[in-house]
Amino acid sequence: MSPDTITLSSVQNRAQERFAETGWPAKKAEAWKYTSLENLVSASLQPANDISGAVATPKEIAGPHCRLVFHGGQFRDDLSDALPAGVRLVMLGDDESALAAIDELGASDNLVSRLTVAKMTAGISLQVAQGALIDRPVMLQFVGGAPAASSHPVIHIDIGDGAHFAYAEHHETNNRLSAPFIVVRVGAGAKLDHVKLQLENAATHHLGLTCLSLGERADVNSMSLSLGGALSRLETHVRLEGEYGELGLSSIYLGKNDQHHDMTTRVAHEVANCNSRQIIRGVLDDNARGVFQGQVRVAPHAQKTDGQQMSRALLLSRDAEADAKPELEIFADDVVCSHGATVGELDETHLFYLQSRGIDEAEARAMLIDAFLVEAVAEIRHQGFAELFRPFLSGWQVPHKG
Amino acid sequence: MVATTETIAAVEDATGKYKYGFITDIETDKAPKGLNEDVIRFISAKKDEPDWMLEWRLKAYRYWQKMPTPDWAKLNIAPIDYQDIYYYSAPKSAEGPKSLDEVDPELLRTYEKLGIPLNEQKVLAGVAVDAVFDSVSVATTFREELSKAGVIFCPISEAIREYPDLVRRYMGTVVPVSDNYFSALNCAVFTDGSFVYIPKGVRCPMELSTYFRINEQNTGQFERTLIIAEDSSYVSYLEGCTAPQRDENQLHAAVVELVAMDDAEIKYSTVQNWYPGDETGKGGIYNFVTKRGVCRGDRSKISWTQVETGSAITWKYPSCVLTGKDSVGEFYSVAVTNGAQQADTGTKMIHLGQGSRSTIISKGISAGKSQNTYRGLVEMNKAAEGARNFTQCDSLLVGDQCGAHTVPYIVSRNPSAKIEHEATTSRISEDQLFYCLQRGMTEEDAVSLIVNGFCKEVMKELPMEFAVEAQKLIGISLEGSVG
Repeated sequence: MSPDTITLSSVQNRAQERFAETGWPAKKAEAWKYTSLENLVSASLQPANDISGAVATPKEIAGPHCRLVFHGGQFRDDLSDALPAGVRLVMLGDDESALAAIDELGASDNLVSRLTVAKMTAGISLQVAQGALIDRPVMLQFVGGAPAASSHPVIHIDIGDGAHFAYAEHHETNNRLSAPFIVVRVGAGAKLDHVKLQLENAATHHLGLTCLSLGERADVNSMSLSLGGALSRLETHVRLEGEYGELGLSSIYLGKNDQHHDMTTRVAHEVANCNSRQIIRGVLDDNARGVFQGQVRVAPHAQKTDGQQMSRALLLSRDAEADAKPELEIFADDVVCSHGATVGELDETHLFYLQSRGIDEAEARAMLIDAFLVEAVAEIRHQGFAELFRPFLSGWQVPHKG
Repeated sequence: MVATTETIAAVEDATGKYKYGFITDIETDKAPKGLNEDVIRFISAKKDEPDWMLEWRLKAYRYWQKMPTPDWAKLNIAPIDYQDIYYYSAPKSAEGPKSLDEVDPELLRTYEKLGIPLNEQKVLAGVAVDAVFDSVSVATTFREELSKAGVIFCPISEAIREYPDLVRRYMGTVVPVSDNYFSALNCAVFTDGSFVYIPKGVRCPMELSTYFRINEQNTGQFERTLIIAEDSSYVSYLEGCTAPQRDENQLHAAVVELVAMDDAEIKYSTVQNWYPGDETGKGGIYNFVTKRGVCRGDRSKISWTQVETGSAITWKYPSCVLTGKDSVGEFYSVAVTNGAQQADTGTKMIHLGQGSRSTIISKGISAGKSQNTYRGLVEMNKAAEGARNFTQCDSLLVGDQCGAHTVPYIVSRNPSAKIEHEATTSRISEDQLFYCLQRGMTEEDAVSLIVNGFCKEVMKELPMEFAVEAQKLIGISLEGSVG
């Protein structure tokens, strides 16, 4: 098919065919080893396309950002702010290169890219002009929805060469399934700051996929927080496609009750001289389960790669579970790659030390958990995002039963 | 028998001669090619086995037929035609060369480098043993000493006949019939292997080695080993050897089961250097092994040490199930791949007992165009109060066309359990190499030295018998990978 015949419906049709072929992941599928979608698959899902009904006022997350609101899976221009100069919004169907990128990714063997493109509820494309230095962050806000509905927004972001851009995601829907698919191309020498807040409703399943590609000397700093939802999987795929790319990809998950958090990352060093660094922290209480799967792949000839990854999980309860599968796949020899993973509980001696100083147990625990998370939080480069982020961490902690 | 004759004829047509020079009267000791229930009955009858054993084999076979071939490992395995394999053939005593003069000089050169004594060279090269030295008397001496201590060490087929109660009580309890594809196949058709029983309180007076096991000139294609260490006993078991071993059987699917009771310790060391095939990996051995030990008793300990340098494809995960309180599991591994070799190897540490501890040290070295994967599981279960794991996986790349991969799986269901895992991948430091070269070493010697330093933590765990040869072996395995 020649590129000029790519249309929104042709892309969707292909994704539908692919999804019909593969369907939901099999029970023993390696990529879904620790995360079962059984509850989700058995439910009948209705892609949201009815936007009637009352529109709840989107929750406010204070900040100087301008909001783009997705309500019940639909893009709502009327609820959104005007974009800063240098950023253009077009409908996905009108952006051929974005469609081509999404079509290509939809062909990959990934559940969310297939599912969401097939059942797309909204599609937009953001274009950041070359060399534009955008001060004001864009906030993508995903709210509303219905308990039996699923939302499948597709967002393409193209950051022109040399541009600086920052965007945040705020997910707080009432859907059964919220499955956003976000594709970001970071141009040569461009800089991106990103923060994702997964604050879904207690019954919501969140399966988010973000695919990033970095050009030469591109610089990305990304942080994700998984806090809400019944079951969530935040999946990030990064391809370093130009030399001297810099990637910081960090995440925190905080699990309570019967929550299931899955953080899955795939970082592919396709060319030489790139650095990637991942810091992952998880805290699990009650019956919660946390999963981290992180793959770092170094292609042949991607020499002088520096790929680092460190994941740590903290178990606060006897019934919590942490699973980790850090993975190195290295095909080039002149590289420095490492990963580390630990799982354990709060150090009794640390707790004792604080208590012997007159700090009560609950507070001592809170302090130690804070200290445990601080290394990841410190990875956030964007000042405004760091401020946006912090309240959710302290808000999560409640005095422990002891 | 028809199939056999046909094959020989076909090969003769194709090559002009049949390499192993089969003679007609041997055919009666061979089961027909292919796998079916009759072949299994034939094997069982040949081994003079009791009915329960045959039933067990048949059950495994029926199960195996329903199983899918595993494809999760990072391996590229050409489809195996299970009907194109002989599952039983008696020892091929008359087929070997008559003297060392007839042995491939390349092979002899390697033996020399490894420093293997002349007599052993002959054994390894398959020169008829009886002509070399009186193996029977050596073995008999060993046997006497062992039986004085109450240790049973014999071929598994003999154990099935002589000690059926012991075998029945333990066989299949560590690696169940249905465990995996290759172990199920092994259950159905195993023909060889060792049985070791160490009674209560006995420290086995010598290292047990497959080397000296009588009646076992050729290590079998489907080996099955069972080692039982009763309370407070100790045994060190050595398997394989450093010398390159050639074998006409391409598929090897062994099963090893270890059981350690209270305060018992089993140390299991392997050096594997099967034929890796030519530059494209063609003709090399497929080594698909299931090894697992259970620390059933409190304070028991199982330690796996392996040096893997051979085989075209290695699929091997020696594991420990730590059931006993304060039990200990260890895994020390060096895996070297060169040429077109592929290795997917590692371990599983399943912690069930309170205070159980495990240590994993894995060193992977890839050179040439090889792919070397560490794959491991550490699982802390609910009852594993205060359990501890430490894992270190280091990979070294020699050359820019090979791959080194690390795939650990970590599962923790107990907050008081501590897991630490770290992995690094790098190449030989240029500074180190330069330093060695500047002192007048050849590049190959320098690489060998540096790689041995990289592996030292594992090599020091090897018993004396293996340690020296294994060091040389690593150097030899990397030949041709530099420069």
